Amino acid sequence: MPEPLSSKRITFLVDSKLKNVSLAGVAIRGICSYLSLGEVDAYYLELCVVEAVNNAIKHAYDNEEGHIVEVDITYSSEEIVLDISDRGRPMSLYHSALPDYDPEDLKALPEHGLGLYIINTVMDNVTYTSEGDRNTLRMKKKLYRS
Amino acid sequence: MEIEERKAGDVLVVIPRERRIDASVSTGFKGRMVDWINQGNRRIVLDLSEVDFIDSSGLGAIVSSLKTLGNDGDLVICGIRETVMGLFKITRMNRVFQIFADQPEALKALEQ
Repeated sequence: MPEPLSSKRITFLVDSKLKNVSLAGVAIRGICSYLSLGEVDAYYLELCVVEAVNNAIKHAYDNEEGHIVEVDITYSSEEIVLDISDRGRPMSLYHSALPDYDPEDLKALPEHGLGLYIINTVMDNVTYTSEGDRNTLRMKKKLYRS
Repeated sequence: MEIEERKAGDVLVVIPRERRIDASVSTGFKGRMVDWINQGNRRIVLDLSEVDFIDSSGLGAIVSSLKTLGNDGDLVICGIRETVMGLFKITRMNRVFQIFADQPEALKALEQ
């Protein structure tokens, strides 16, 4: 699909180590600053990119180093599209619901599996595709500048 | 991960001296918290004033610490930034933890 003429695009590659993920976070934070987004909106977008790259490293690559996670960012004045791609194991199930836990019940509090829930809550549109050996999580968010 | 700890009476004050609590440090952070709890610390203030980013792994480590503490202790949070508070609200953890503006307020609440 052709991109709108006014859109801009940047792609960067992250080596599959969890300690590298903060670099992806800092990069998206810089772009959010360039776009004059508010601090909270910038945090949410950084959070979604970090969660998606973490998921790729942990689940697609089983925490194995030496693989590439591709972060592709396209933005216009109205929307930002974040594509996170890997060539590891596709996600078998798309869990995204937050358990309806009782805050008084300590044992029931969720410790894991919150990443996709956060992504689905923050972003306007989320899709996951596997084509050939490439898996892509696409996250879209309308932009409202501060 | 650099974490400062100090005692205020029988309350342990834990101050992460890092800007990020993410997946790369969450296991180590959780380990330190569990060690302090297993050493007998039952009332803990977690001061997040220097932390400007927490992901779901970092949040999971904080939740895990609370679960380790169980029902016969307190783990309260202070100094949380508006950005990080957003994560607590999205995941509804703001209903789970008592959250105070700063250390004096948190310590005062634990004394009561």
